[in-house]
Amino acid sequence: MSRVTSPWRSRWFVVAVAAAALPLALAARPVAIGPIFPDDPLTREPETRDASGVAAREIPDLYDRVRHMMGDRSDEPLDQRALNVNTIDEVPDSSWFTNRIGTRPFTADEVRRGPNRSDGPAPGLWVIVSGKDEGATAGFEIVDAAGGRWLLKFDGREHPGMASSAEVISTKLLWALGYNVPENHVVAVRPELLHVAPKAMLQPFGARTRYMRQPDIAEIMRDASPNGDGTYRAVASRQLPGRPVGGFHFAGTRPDDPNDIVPHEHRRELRALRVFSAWINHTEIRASNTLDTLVPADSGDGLRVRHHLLDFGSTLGSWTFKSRPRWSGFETVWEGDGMLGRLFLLGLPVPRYAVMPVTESPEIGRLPDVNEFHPDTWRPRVTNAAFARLRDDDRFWAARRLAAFDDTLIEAAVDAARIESPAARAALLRLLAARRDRIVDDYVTKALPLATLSLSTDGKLRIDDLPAVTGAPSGPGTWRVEWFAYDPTSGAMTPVAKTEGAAGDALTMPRALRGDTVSPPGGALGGAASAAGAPATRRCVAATLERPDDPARAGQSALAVFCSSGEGEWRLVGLERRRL
Amino acid sequence: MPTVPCSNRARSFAAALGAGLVALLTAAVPAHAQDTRAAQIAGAQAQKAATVEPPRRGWLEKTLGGLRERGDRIAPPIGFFPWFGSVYSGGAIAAGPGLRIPFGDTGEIKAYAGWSVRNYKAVTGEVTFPAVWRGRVQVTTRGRWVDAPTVPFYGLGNDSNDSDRTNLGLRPIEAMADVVVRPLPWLSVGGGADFLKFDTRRGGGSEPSVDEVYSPSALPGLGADPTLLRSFVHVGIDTRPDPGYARRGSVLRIEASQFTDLDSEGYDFRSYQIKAAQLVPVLNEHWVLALRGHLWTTDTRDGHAVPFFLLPYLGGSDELRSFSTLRFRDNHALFLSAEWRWPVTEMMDMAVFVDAGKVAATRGDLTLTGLTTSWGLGATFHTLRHTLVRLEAAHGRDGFRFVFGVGPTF
Repeated sequence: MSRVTSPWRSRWFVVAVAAAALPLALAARPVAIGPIFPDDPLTREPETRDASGVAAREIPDLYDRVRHMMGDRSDEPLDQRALNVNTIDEVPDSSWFTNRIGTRPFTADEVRRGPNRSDGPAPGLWVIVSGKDEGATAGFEIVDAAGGRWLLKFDGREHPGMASSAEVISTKLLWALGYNVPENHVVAVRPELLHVAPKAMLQPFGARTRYMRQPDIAEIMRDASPNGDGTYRAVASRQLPGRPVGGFHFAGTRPDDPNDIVPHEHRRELRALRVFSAWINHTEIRASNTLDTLVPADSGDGLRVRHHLLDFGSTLGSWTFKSRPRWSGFETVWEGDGMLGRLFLLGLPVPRYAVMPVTESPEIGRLPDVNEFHPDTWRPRVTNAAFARLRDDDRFWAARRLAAFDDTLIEAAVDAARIESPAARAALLRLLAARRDRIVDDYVTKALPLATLSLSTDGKLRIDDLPAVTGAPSGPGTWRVEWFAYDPTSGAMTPVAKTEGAAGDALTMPRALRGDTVSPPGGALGGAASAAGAPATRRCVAATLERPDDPARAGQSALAVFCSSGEGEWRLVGLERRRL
Repeated sequence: MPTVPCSNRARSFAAALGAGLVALLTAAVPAHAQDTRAAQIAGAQAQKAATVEPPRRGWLEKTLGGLRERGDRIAPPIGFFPWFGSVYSGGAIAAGPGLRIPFGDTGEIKAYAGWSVRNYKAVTGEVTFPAVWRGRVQVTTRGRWVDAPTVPFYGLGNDSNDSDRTNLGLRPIEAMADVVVRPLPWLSVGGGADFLKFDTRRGGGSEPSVDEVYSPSALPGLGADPTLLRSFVHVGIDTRPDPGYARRGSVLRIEASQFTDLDSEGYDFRSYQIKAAQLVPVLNEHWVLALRGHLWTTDTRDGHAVPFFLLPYLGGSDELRSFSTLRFRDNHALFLSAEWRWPVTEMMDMAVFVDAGKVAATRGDLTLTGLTTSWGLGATFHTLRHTLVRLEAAHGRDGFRFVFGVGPTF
């Protein structure tokens, strides 16, 4: 007999397990990073349990919208550091996210290729196995000549190339940013090479599902955008590998996935998705535009859930079948308190979006002038619990990744969409670059601009800050540093010395902390016992960093922890950016 | 989201958590395995693996999951469904069982029975045949029985008073066929025939029955049970992006009807209606000025008259909204309206409106002087393509009236 468990039992469980996983995050500790384990910082989030018992669940789009309109309720605290960051404030690779741009050199070819493992549907006869009747655009599910399964979605006749371009460009950008996305290609469809499979099904709007017939192709494609050579422009989206089990919510955890232990609203990559969505104007980001699939575990041990984003036809200036409305990106569906003033004032004052200058063309739809774009005031159509918990350290994390997106990489993503109009292409490039700059400029000051931190064997602290990386003006270079001995077992910190300056001695570890001269307090720097039970020989130090002369960074602080295994090499194992 | 009491098991789990994370993890994994971060996480995952459960769907998810939608359009139901609507002018909101059976891709059989809050009843059956000629031609047939026990009649002309109300009992039976051809997306032409058999009765309700106040000589059709055949043609132009909800576009519909008295009792007449509307977007569609007009006129041969319960009328949720339904009747009617609409959110508009109209005994009296007016404020809830509900408060010489409407005004 199956056991039915209440949502509250599930919620308690989620909270408990998430707390149990807290060491992954170290986030709830306001003062210190906490114990440092030998395998810190994790570069991959472990997923140890077989998830083959995960059941398929469909999140109805209408329910999803209503749920998000009602606030995507979560009882989780709002000002909570992301729970899935490792000890150096980074997001480890996982079934949700893979560190790509910003963590290693990235080429235009990589962006252009994105998630693609093929060159699109194999040429030849394409067999339609079902008609697409959901979503805003018409389309088919096909099997190509090589047996690959694809979803074809056509551009609207009035906006040639708009939705497919948005789909492909956003796919490339989100993939480079680290998300799992489907393989999407711009294709030219020849209707005469489409063949309806004998058992292909179609459910016309409001009618019963029936077998699809060859004449249905013309009916479904009647508003498709012709290329002028007998073909029709469409985007081909490859079926994701694995068994689909439905979308994911932006709050809570999936109750049937044993590896899903961090509430989604506390996952940094989902919070930061608000920043990236603002960049590409992905206002339709919600559960029904996500998909989980069950895929074989890398270890060969059963199955794991992989989490994907999909359906980007309503990004950038596209509203799939028409240009994006002016309010889109500026208001959610239900603005709550903000609506009261509008009820009885005859639409006054006129919202800025109603009169703002826009860039508009049939090929790219409608996007506001960049001066009208502000990442904090940008709005998805419906918000969610993860976006509501976006903090400054999440914004900074996202800005660092965007800062790594130079113009050539953006150009590579745009060129993958093969936009026919040079003017439209140029406008889109300009707007994407300008929106990126606006986000980076706004958010790079949200935390101490530490891009990389290192401690040399002779105790010199090297700080590469983000403005220097991006070319943006950097504030005064004075640093205030307080040094501590750090007990990796308990996370206890013992103050040793304070220094201040731009370089040189000010950023040099005090001699008292150097292992060759003195054993710092906090034990013999033993740390946690190794898994084999042998005593460890780690030595750890900590430093708090401030920029006292930089008004833009007033109140900002960072705590860095370095450990050495005894050979003199210091490795950054802990980093927390915070406000004092 | 429904909430249910926390189970004992969950409380124990929370208590365990409160007692100490270390104890929890110790119970979960071997001691040596907790010396790494990965082992801690593995322990937490092992804990969850012991209590995984399938996702549960709440009532909201189940309800909304049953609706099929496509591009902001909600597909009509298939099979039995709860029907809501109006069974007859002035009957107020009605509800009852409905059945919809689609056939072909665009055909359907629909039947519903409704009982209104004012004790109006109706049973309706409709057959819409699948569209042909690439969806440009569609035939619809409908049969209907209505019991309307308190159809109001306030007298003829503009000067009637609210206190003059009398009631008529009416039981029409209708059988109609309509063919519509859409040669262009924005253009429709059509025509058809409508068999109408009226059974008039004493009016119910607290107001006097119409036969207690008026005589048959003063009020054509009083006491008669005419059987009429209406043949009609119509042409329409509609440039709105979506008829269900739009912020720009034009609408024009012209309809001419010939009513033939099958019992030769002197009720042959013609009826002509012209409805026009223009949505004028202002400031990139932030505001919309919605203008509309309705001219409704009748024509009779010598010795014939229009039954009083089929005369043109004004008043109701669409025209002269501060007045009751069927408030003004006469041989001719003219209605004009202007609305100023503004958005509150993507799904809600507000509007102020002024309605003006008059009925007249002769076409010559149908001038712009002496118009009866009403004004008001309204809220419209809508999707990008459909108007769902209208809530309006209107004021006129009869006082305030609140309107609850389903669908757009036009």
